[in-house]
Amino acid sequence: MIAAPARPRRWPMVILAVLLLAAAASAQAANEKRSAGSAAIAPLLYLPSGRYLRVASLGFDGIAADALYLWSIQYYSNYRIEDRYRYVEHIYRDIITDLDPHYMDAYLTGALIMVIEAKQPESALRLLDKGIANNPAEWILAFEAGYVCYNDLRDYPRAAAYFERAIAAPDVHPIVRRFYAEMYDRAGDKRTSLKEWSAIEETADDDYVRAVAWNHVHDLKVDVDLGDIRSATEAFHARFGRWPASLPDLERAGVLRDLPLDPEGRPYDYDAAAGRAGYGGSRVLGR
Amino acid sequence: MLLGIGLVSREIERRTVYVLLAKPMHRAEFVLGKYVGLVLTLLVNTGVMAAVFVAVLLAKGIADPALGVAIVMLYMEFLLITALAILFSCLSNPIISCLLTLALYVIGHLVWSLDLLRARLASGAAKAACTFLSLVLPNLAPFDIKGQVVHGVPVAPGSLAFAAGYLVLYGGAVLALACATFQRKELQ
Repeated sequence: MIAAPARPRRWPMVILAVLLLAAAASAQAANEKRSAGSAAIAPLLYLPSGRYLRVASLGFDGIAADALYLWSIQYYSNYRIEDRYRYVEHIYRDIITDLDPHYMDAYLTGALIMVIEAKQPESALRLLDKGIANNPAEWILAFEAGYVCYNDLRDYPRAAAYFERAIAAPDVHPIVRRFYAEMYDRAGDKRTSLKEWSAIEETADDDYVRAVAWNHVHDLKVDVDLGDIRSATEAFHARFGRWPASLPDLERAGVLRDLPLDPEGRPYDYDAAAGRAGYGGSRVLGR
Repeated sequence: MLLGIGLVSREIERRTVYVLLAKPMHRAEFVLGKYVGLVLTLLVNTGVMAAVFVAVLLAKGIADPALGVAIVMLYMEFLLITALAILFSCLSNPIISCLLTLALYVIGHLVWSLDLLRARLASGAAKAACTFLSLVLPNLAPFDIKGQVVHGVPVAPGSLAFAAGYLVLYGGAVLALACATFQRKELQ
């Protein structure tokens, strides 16, 4: 009887495999430690345009947009990648929102990352403009764009145009109008701000909003009235070479059509020696 | 990859492996011979494609030596994937081998995301699991420098040496496992 040849043992090979794997892991750990903090933009460089990915995704463009969006959140949360914002606009504007033009989270989060993290407000506005064009009924996109112009760029005429667009959208949240009114105050156009806050106060559905609007109306009315009185006293001084003896003199001289009363219905204080009107009450918002 | 996944299992299926193993040959030699054959085939494929690519670039007046490095590293990535394909081919049938190799190819390019996950985890055990996986799974990122080269981003010094070393160590480990698997495999 012939004995079957003994099979070679495999444990030497397994040990060799384990040793090599341990060496590879050690080398990789050392390499990671060495390259920590270096650029890691390689995964982004070959991302093509969303138009091509749409074809390549074989009808699963929504899923592709979702996957890329989730990946982008991870990617832009990695603070170790110093130049991670190099392609941020391309990723959100040309890829994710090309794959799914109605992906609201991608517009809003992308814009947020561009403004807050990447300090690229113009890129954010281009992304939001695309969102507005694709989703004209979504007030939040125009509101966000307006907020970027209002808060970050301090470009009030541009902010006003976005806010007006948001206000015109259906089912707009009431806060948009309040931002719109407040923006004019910050921009120095107190008369328009007063007009907007007054309209909010008159049309408010709940007591809280009405009370908030009244606070603004109160202080803005004081500012606007004192501004009007100051202009009129200066016109009076230019015409007669002296300050008016009392505020009603302004009406009588025809330099002020209607002498305003303060928000509490009392006449404004007036210092005839200095030709300066003042408000005897206290401002509600204290500014 | 598609060549590698059926390389061993198909020999077993068609029973042609019996003819080979009847010769005075170690089973590990059979596996390594298959691997080397595939490595040479890939070398020819990659070489021809690279030659055409370089010819087109030269015709357009583009000459960047870094592209050569990128092609070499791409070839090294092929070698590692081929080693994985051979291992799975020793373990399973072509379909399962294909799926497993494809999965490891995708995972290999996403190992970096385990670092992101680790940074967000609170549990020490979960962090350790992430670290372990990121070191044990094949990492194909060191071989992928084509993006940097095309866009003129400087490639870290020592990248080629590290990639080559990693290929030798990890690829060696995978081939040793493939040999160990095939040595005790019942061939019926």
